[in-house]
Amino acid sequence: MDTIPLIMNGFSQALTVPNILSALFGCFLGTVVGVLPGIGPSTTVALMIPISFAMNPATALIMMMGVYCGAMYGGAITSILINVPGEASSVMTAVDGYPLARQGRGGVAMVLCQVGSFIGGTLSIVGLMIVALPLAMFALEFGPAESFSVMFFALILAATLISESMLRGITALIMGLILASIGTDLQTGIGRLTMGVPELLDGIDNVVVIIGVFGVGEVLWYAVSTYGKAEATLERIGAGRWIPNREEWRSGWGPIFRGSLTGFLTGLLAAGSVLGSFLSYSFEKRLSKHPEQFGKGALEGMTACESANNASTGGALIPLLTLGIPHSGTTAVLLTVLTMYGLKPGPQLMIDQAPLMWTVIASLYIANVILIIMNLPAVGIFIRILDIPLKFLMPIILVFASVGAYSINTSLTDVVMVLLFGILGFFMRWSGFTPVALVLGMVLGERLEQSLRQALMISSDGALIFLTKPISLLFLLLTAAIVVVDLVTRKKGRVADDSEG
Amino acid sequence: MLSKTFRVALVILAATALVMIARQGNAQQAYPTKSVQMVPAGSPGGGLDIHARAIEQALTVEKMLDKPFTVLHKGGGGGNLLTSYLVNQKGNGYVIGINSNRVLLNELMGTIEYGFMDVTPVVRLTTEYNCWAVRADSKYKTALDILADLKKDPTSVTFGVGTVPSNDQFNILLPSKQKGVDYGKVKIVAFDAGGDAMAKLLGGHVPVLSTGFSEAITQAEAGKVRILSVSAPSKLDRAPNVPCWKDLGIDVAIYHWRGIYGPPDMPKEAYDYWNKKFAAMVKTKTWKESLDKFELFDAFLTGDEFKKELAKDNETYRELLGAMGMLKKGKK
Repeated sequence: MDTIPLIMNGFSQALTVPNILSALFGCFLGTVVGVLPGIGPSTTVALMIPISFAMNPATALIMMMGVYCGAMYGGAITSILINVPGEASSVMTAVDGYPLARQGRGGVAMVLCQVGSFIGGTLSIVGLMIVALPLAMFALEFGPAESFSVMFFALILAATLISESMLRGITALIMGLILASIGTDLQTGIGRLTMGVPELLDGIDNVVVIIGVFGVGEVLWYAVSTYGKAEATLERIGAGRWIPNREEWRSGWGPIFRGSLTGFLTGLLAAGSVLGSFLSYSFEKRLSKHPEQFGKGALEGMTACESANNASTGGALIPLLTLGIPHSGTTAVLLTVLTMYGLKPGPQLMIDQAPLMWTVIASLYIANVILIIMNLPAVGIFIRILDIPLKFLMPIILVFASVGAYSINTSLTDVVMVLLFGILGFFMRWSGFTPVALVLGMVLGERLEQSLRQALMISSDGALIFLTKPISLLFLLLTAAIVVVDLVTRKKGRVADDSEG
Repeated sequence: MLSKTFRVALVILAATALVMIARQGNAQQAYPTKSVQMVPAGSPGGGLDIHARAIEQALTVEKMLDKPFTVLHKGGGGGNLLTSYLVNQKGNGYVIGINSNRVLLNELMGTIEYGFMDVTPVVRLTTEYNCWAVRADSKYKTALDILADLKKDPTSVTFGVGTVPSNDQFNILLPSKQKGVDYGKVKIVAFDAGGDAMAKLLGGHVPVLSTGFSEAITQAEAGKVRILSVSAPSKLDRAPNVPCWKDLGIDVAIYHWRGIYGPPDMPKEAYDYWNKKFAAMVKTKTWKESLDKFELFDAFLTGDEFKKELAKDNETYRELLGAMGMLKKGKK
């Protein structure tokens, strides 16, 4: 089948005035949704369903693609400026982005993230067009055993990096895993650790924990650490410059391309944008010549992470478009939309509805171009937020966090939980625990546990399934290699430290 | 004798009283006098939300909507948030909820203390059917082959489902029970809802899937999977070659239905109004078109019939969940 005419046709369909307007609107809405913590792209797309009845399928789908891509761009902004990641995939952006902002390089960080988002997003669509079908077939090879090993690999890779202290890192990680096990157990349908609160049957939303330990925790930390200090009254961060210099650009390219690849592949594996962002951050830290700066304001990890979460969009669309199988939240809603238009999403979709589908793919390119044009100048506006004195900015963050928490399920329980997690976040900072390890355990925990149990139930010879499946074995060996390397370098590092001291 | 003025006054009074009575009669007829809140027990974009939208659309297009709806989503808590919400709205005629058989299951499993008797079942609206699907290259040609293997060894075939407890699961247990399989021991693995289970079947990680017919049929039409049986009471038009359980000599039909529930002590006028309204709605063209689009089937039951079915289902579920060891303690 010759795809070139189909692509050309797709662009000519997508580039009509109503379709461009709808893409513009979708991109704008998506960015707003991405900036606001709480409500995410899948809910936004779902809320657009009634509006989309009045439109033709192409126009509506283009708007929804704009929202999907835009939300990934917006996520970086609050992470960097006010340490409130709006979703799990932006956590690693906050880890370095917020320190960068406090050093007056917030604008530079945002520009690099936007450029990384653009390149990641665009490359993933190229990938979607060229290798969609073989990749979709490859993705099917990932059963529960393979998923478990990949998750385990990611967890160990990230965990050995994050904390200065192994003991504290592991404690925080286990706390995260326990938080992840709250809620209805998929295999038995029984609620665990819910303490009789019906809202907890669905588990604790990752975003609630993230907004709490990062955003609210930071506010409480500020309040306590400046209490009674006169000099803190008008302290502010200050916008600083926002055009990256040549050296900063140069440090960005490698992470952008590596992050894009990681994000694309993990997006494909039903792992969503979260796994990709953690993995790519870990890769960058390992490759870096100055890993000690990570977490204190290094550009590389953050840029890779933002490239990765945008690149996951193209990857996640592959199973939906080629097999009619959705996995992440947003693609599941898109499936509903396709059904609503009577398009019968399934393996035949790309063949039966080829013109429409290629229009949608073309619109993904257009959405990415619109977003970069729209968002780069916006950096100059957003950065002014840092000119607000901290004593006024901090209460605003608190309001922002509470509203975000409420918007997830329109539930006050979530607002209360955000404040509780804020207190936890404060004590973690106070005692030197890293909130990142907690979040990591939390976001990977559920899938880790479920895939472990699914694999064991399917297996006819117990835990051997993890060793007899080649892909699974490969990741377990990689995990073992990393642990060994880490133990050796850690020992060396300690000897070096001792000799210096 | 009565003075003329007094007589006139009496007549006026009587007339006023008559008018008042007449108006009161009118007021009773005139439910609803304000907008009605419709509460799907799911998030926007999900199956229950689709029902809310389809109801709103059908009543609007067919000009049958007397007062507009406000839609409130109570996703979460496995449907329990809706049930508690309805219980708190006791006696309120202006709230209706949309939910599935989770109202029964959750109470049996003990995740909530309220069951279907604690809310008002108004009508049953639609149903989906479940099916068994295998990969196109599977060695199993019929569902009976699988059941025969299970009878020899109940752990010999592993099933994938979207979630438990669910009709996907009962669609395995009920036929197994009829065929004398030790069904409490059958291995059933839950994958994330949505397409995850189908991806695991296509990838060859589980040999059989018990899933929604609408999810399997597009894959079957593309030649990727074969559907071995469907839980409908008779063969479905879209898949005329797929036997239902009765065709295979198994007396099982499973309805994955969705229905309307009201708060406890729902006023009779509201209950009657919605029973009539929905009975008329399910006959409209717009509603039937929506059903076709979403692969749903009409399963309308009036409130009284619905309640009887629920009581029957509740006993079936109690027995099956008991055999799986999933029943709340003290519920046997």
